Amino acid sequence: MRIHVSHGATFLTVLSGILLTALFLAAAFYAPLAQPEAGGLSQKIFYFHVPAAYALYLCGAVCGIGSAAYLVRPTSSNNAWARAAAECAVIFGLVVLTSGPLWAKKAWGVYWTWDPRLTTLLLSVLIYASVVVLRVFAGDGDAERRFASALGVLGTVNLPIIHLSVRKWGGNHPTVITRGGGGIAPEMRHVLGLGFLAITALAFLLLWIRARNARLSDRIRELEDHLSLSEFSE
Amino acid sequence: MSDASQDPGLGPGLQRPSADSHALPAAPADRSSEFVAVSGAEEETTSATTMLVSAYIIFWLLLLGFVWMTWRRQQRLAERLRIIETRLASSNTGDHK
Repeated sequence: MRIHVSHGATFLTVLSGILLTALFLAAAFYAPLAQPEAGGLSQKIFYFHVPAAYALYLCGAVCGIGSAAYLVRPTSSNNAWARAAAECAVIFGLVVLTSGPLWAKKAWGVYWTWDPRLTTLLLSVLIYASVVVLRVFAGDGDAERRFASALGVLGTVNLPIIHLSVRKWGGNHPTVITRGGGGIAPEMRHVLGLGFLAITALAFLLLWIRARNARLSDRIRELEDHLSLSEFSE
Repeated sequence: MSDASQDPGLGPGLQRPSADSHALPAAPADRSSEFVAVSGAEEETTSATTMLVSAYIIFWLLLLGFVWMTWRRQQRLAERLRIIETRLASSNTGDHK
């Protein structure tokens, strides 16, 4: 028996592939070169750095909702979404935390500063990483799932703080999206929009697949336990 | 003790930086929404191309690494399913005997 691949997953895979390819081509050939003060050529990191940050927010929100839902009603589905979203949040968080410093080295002259936004984002990613590590190494009982869910909620509570940190506390990091449009050229806005579409599609795909795997794993474990019990009783 | 350069909006002990200083703006309202040029060395010490290519490589490595881990997990699940099917088939065969 093969694990069935749904039409939705296939569609999202194809869509993500097309959009990601279009994004990188557009960033390379359509988006204009930024001014040297913004990092020059390295400013093109912007087109997946910012969407990856919003994908982190998306995955973090799913993790928070799934975790809170599991604490209220401990079902396999809630646990699966919380687990999958934490894993995806770590991946997108790592994308942001690696691409940002590489761009910052050109734009700011340093790889890292303890800027409010950078620090709070690092904190969130560390919280989600601890959720993943807990789930992998501490077993998968109800108590461990509840503990991981509590951490997942904590990580999500931090997300609005990341977003508002620049406006409230200042720092190096610019406020990217403002009412005025962010101060970027129209072509840059088009490519950034494409980046949001591509990375969001990718985030949905990864969330769906990981959540499905987690639910499948639970179901298989139930069947294995049932089989072991029935063989033992024989 | 009062200080003429102290800004009442900043709180005790804080001073707004002078106009010609390179310090970061003290208040959020002074924050620029655009990138601020870094003053420093005349010669370029870091290649923008290197940073750009490195960032894109790391992005793809992270993504493909995650996809590979997902695929491996799915393979392990498929193997466990196969074992369950085998055990079910053998227990059904045993029932029929």
